[in-house]
Amino acid sequence: MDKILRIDMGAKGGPKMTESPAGDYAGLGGRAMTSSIISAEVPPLCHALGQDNKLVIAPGLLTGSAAVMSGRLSIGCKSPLTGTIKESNSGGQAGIAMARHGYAAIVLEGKPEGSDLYKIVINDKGVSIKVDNSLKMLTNYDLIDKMKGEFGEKIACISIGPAGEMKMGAASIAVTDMELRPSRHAGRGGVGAVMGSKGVKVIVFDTSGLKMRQPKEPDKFREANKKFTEGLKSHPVTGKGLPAYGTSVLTNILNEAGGYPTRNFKTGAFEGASAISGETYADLETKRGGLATHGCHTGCVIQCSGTFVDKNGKFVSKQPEYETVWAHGGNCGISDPDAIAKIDFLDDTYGLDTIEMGVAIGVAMDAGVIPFGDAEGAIRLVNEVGKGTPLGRILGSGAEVTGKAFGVERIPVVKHQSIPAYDPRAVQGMGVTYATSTMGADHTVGYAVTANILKVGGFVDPLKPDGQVELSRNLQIATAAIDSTGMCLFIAFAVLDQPETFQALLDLLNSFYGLSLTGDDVTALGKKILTMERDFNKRAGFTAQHDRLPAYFSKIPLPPHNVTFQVKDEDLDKVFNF
Amino acid sequence: MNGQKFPRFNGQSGTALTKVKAQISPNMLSCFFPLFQQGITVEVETGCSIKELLCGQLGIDNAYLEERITTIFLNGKPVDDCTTAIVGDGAVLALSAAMPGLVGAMLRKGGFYTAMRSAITYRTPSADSIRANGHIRLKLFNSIMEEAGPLVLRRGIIIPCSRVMKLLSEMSAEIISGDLPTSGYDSAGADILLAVEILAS
Ligand code: SF4
Repeated sequence: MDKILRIDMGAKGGPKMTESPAGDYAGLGGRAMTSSIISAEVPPLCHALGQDNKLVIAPGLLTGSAAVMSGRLSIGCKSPLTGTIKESNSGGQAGIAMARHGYAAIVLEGKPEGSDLYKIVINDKGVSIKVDNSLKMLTNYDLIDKMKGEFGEKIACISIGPAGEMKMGAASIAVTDMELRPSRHAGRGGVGAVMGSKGVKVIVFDTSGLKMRQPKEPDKFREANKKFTEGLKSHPVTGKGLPAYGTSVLTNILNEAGGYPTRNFKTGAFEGASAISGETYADLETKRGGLATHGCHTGCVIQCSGTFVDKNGKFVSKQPEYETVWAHGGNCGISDPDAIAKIDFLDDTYGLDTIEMGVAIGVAMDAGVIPFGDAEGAIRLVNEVGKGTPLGRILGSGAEVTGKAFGVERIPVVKHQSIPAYDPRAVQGMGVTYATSTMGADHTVGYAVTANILKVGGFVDPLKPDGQVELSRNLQIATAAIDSTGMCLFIAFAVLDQPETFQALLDLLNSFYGLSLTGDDVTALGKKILTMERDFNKRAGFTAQHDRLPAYFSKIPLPPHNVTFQVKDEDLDKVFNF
Repeated sequence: MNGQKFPRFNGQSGTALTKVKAQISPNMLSCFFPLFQQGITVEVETGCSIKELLCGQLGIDNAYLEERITTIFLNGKPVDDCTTAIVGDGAVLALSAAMPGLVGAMLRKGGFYTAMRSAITYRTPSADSIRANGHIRLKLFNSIMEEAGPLVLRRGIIIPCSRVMKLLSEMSAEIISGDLPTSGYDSAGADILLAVEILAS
């Protein structure tokens, strides 16, 4: 994993490829790689869909190795949705294939003239890029079926659906899973629109005969991997809760806490929550012959995913994740698990971010386009997006555009991106992260609960009133670092509780690369990434005034606790004082 | 009609609950999962701490409470200390295992990230610590449904008669004592005290 493939899609005479050593970017992976390239090479004021933007695809540092949980793939660019720097990551098999083909990054640059659509194929003979206009407006599932017909089953794909081709702000990039379904997505920030603007429909990796990446110190690596796996399996969350119920296990909990945004963030509790909880999904999957425990890529030992089938046992979608179930469920007043799974499939096949779509539909419901609770209506709206009707184009541009088009005041976005499934009035620490994240409102950017082990920024007294500002800072630093390893963020809980599991993670990195990293080095990496990202955003015109939640969160109390967001602006401005 | 009589749910004198005892096979426990998540009514002595209620009255093991029930809500507020939070009559008590993600860490009792949800944290006791017979709504989530659910069922839950009939027929339950009322009951409104034994597998 020491070379970078650059494809200039706008070169005269057709796309031009160059392959070079990683050079200045050597030793970087995942988010560290994508944000380094974007911040160094993309003019921050460029149009996100123009020739100067770049789409950077990078596996994590351990991706493609035998390290468990390490298959994640980061995708970065200037976001057409937020206007900020963006890193969106995904599970699935393509990161592993890409790393084993030796690529530390693939960079799509320039912009083709005309409307041809390209297919990139990477196999042991090299890279080919060809026009294939027969792929135009194919959905992700149809596209992958076509790729299977053409290249067989030993492939992994990165692709866009019609939403990406239409360059919608909610367009995602799909990554195929172990069953070769395009069910895993780099969802946030409209990264699919940037891939669409480069004219690339799909990147196909031939996976036959690929060799695992080998560590520098195999014995130490094996030992660290064993300890890391044991740590994950013995922890109640990663060893039991997530495998049994998936991420939707959070539905009942957030609802009970009064922090489950319901009907476009009007209340914090949804009367239909238990009908769409992780417990209910798992029970339905088990009884109907689906799968309640499944991994999204090889080497996943947590297996938070599953397969959702209908009453007749027929595949509907992968088990929808918590944020998806919330966005299309409680946020829209919908409590039908079958309808939500169907919408999840539609989002995946059209290539849409489930959070942005669910929030946009919630805003549209608030405007009276369809009533809250109208599951059939919601399905119809997603189909409009997939077909690109005028209404569909508005919705597919995200919640903010939808709110503006329909004159809605309550639009839950930060830096133009939808706020996910945790109401910041009830869970205020999450609000701090939403407000200040370099990526727009995002729950994953301050997710890695390793911060207290890393002790980034010194000891934090969690009982101090401003503890949440310091905690948010530390969490964002830790997450930026973990996003660079290729590790799934769900390792975080076990790493938080079990220092030896965190040490095993460090040992994995050290033995793989022959390094001697400490917790401090991890912290320094996280800070470096955030500093680069903040600097990019500053040059793109973002100021402290953008690090704010919409005003209504501070004014309109959220039932049942009737709380408003109380963190002061000057405290939000301290988040990045490091 | 040989069902034992218990004080009626609403506490009014003169009325009593019919008690029905049933047996089900272990694979039928999941029929109760929707009920557990929505909340079941149980008769308890209120005015005591969560710990006393769960361990002293419901028979939950101390170590299990410490290690497995790591996320607790009293009337929708995350609880950090089970020994000081007082459960009053009519309270809603929700029990969960450790939850994923940052929010899971925030909501966990006494965790490192409690400051991040300080706006909703349970603080001062909202109920008197005067002991009295009362009722609470108990919600069981995720693995707690499977692990503590049988204990709660054995002790008895109060649910509408109409729901008991549907549930028992769904589970092919065997009624071992007590009778389900067949007539003279307003089935929509009447409650039953249902105790359920899970047969050994
Ligand atoms: S825990 Fe879930 S998201 Fe993470 S790698 Fe496994 S299946 Fe994918």
